[in-house]
Amino acid sequence: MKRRLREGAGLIVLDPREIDLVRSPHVQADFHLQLRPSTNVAVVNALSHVIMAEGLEAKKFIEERCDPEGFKTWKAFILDPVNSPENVFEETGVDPEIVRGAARLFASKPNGAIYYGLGVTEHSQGSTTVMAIANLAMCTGNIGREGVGVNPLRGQNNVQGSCDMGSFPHELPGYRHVSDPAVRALFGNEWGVEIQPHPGMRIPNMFDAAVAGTFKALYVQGEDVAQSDPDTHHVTNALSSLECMIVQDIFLNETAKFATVFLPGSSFLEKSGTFTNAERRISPVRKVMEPLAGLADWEVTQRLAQALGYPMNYSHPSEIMDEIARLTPTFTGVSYEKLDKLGSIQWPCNDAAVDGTPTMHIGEFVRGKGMFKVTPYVPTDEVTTRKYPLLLTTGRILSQYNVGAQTRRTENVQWHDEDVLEIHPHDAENRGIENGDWVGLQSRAGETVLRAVISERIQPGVVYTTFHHPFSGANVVTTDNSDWATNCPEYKVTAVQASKVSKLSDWQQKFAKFTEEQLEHLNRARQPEKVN
Amino acid sequence: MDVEKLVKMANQIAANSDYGADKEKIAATIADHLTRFWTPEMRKAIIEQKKVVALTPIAARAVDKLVMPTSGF
Repeated sequence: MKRRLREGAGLIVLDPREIDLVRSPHVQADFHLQLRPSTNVAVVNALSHVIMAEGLEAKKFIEERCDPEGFKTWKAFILDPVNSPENVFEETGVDPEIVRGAARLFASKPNGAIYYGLGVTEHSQGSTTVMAIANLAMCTGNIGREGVGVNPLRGQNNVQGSCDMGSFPHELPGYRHVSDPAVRALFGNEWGVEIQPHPGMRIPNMFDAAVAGTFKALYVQGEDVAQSDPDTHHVTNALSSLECMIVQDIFLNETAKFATVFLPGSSFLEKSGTFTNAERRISPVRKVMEPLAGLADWEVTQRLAQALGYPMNYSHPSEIMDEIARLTPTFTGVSYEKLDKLGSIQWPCNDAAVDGTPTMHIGEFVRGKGMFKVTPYVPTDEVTTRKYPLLLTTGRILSQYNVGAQTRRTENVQWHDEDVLEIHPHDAENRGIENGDWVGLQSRAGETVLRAVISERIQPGVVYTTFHHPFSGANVVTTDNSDWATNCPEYKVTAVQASKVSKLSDWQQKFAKFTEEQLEHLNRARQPEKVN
Repeated sequence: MDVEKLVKMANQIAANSDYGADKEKIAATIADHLTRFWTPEMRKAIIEQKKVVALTPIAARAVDKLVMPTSGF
């Protein structure tokens, strides 16, 4: 992307912060739409509104590739003056002329690609924004060839692969709903089990049910929910309510402190398998050393299945891939042998595309005609009040990976050894906060204390922090608000108050004590047994 | 189940689906979403409690369309 920008491609950035991409060596955004957190849908709709109102849409593409009825309905919706940049200015905070300029630039280029991160999905209208982005790409004809398209940049390296493999409570691999009897029969016959036709629980539903006492056991593999999930008080309450929690990880992470059983995990160097990235590219991961814990992750899961009475007997991960190929139409042609031969494969890979599919939607969409969806802007419930007058938005920094379980145990801490609160000079001055002061951050969910960094990267009324260090307690403050369709937590919007303080929050003091107790248990367990 | 949370979720789904004049069709879309993505236990809870906590009119109309689950708990 940076290479194309250095070669002269236009750049439009939508972000509440002035992120590095807005201005960096040899790169300068043509437009930075510095929108207020929670107003993505209003801004993306406004971009499409301008394109349609000014007749800049890709008429031929729409006529040939899109469903006419869907387009007609959407066109009437998007042209409503309610979606104009001028009308939404009060909510979004983005100068209408900047929106109009950005829309004209995007529509004027022969190729336009859209890349988005978790700033889109981690909102109460995350799903709606994705649909609004798809509308924008279709109305400008930017789908189905190289150099265009809608490209979600995932939060982890194998989010795409997990989704492909049915890591949803309502789907089996290949995005097939469990209510389909033919799909259930296919997998049921292979596995020798009867598969329920109902969706299961999503993670927040599990936590609610655990607190209610109706959900008793959890198996957590390679995820640190005690730190990563919103509303920490609620999460730790749920984890403490379980009768059995198995944690499998390469570190004794925050979630492991609540485990009844801990199973050692294996790193990516100690196991074979595949990762799939956002361009549907399946890449092999090869074991370069025996797992220090004795078993690769898939072997641990297999042993657990066997101990529970299910005869799971794969002898190599390639057999698991063969099973995927047998059961999943988009993976029919994938095998370890072919991955070794080609290096990597982009699905769909089957008889119709023997070596995979680098670009999707050429000539036709998977569903046939492209379907425009109406995407009304519905403001989030998480609004500022006199008690909580600021909006907190959370994010990540380059040198730390997610909750930092892997990176803050390395020298990367030299770059980022604590999470800080970015606050605009105007908001800091109003509160008597100076650079480096301890600041108490309160929301309706909880309170934590962070060190202040005064910054003009964010606008007045918005504060920002990262969540890489557990002691920061960023998710003690975030709430249970979530996306209407997926329940993805709304990490990007929390109404808060910030004030200068002189001591740590109650949660942080309890957290420090709890961590100390856990480490004592660990040290005691590591002592050689005394022989009388 | 925390019924207040379920009501909030159902109202959110309804608010994000409520566009157009054909309310019957919208209610059917919302009901289909609840059937495809909610567990039977969650659906049972929202059917049973619908008069207790405030569902919006369009969400209530969708809940009226749900079939009471009899298995999957």
